[in-house]
Amino acid sequence: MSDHDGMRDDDYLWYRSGPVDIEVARLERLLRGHALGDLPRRAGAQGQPQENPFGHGNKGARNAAAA
Amino acid sequence: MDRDDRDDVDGAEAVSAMVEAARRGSGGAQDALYRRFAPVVHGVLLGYVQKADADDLTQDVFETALQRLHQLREVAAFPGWLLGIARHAALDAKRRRTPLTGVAFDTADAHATHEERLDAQRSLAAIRRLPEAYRETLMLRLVEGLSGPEIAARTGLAPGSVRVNLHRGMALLRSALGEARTEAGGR
Repeated sequence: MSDHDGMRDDDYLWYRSGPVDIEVARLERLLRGHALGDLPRRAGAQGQPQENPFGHGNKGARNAAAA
Repeated sequence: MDRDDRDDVDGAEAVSAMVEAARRGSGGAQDALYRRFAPVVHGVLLGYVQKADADDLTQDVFETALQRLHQLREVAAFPGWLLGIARHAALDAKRRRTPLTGVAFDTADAHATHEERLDAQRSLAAIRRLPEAYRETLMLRLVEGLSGPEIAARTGLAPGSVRVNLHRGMALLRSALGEARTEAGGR
């Protein structure tokens, strides 16, 4: 089977909607839920735009603690 | 023109306008660029460095990009240019810090079971071992939660290339994870 034949079955991987690919959904749940990628959620959770768009994260606090 | 193509055109025009405004010093445009591209930069960085470093480096990449924005000749090339800065920053950080093993370094959700954390770390390590094009697109899809059309619009890659990278990368990842399970089961 060529790549193009296989890609017809990849709609969930491509669109994030439609018939769910169980392995893709499992990896999404694991990696988004338990391990990684919380920067966009954290930025969004703050609710309103910040004056300094680069103020996300805790680099400043970490540097201050190190000093 | 299908829905994906329309989204790409609208997105590209909006980004070019944001970049032009950011060059003129608009804080709102700089903020909008950050909100749109932070997940992509973060996802690319995660392919090279630990999560805490990726968080910090995301800020550094945007600070560097803003300082150099006047050097960008074509505003439409902003996505690829920004990701180039991200890859350079990641490789630089990787040279200076402890090599990644993909195990036990990334922060995990406190509610996750031990087995889920191990599974997440194994999966992450397997993605990090893939060739760059597959690694980045899978990080953006599985970790940052972007769809294929969103990845194309925010990286500047052709939608067809992104779809091929996702398809082939996922095939390699399934194979790698299957082998890891077989090895674990054989012990």
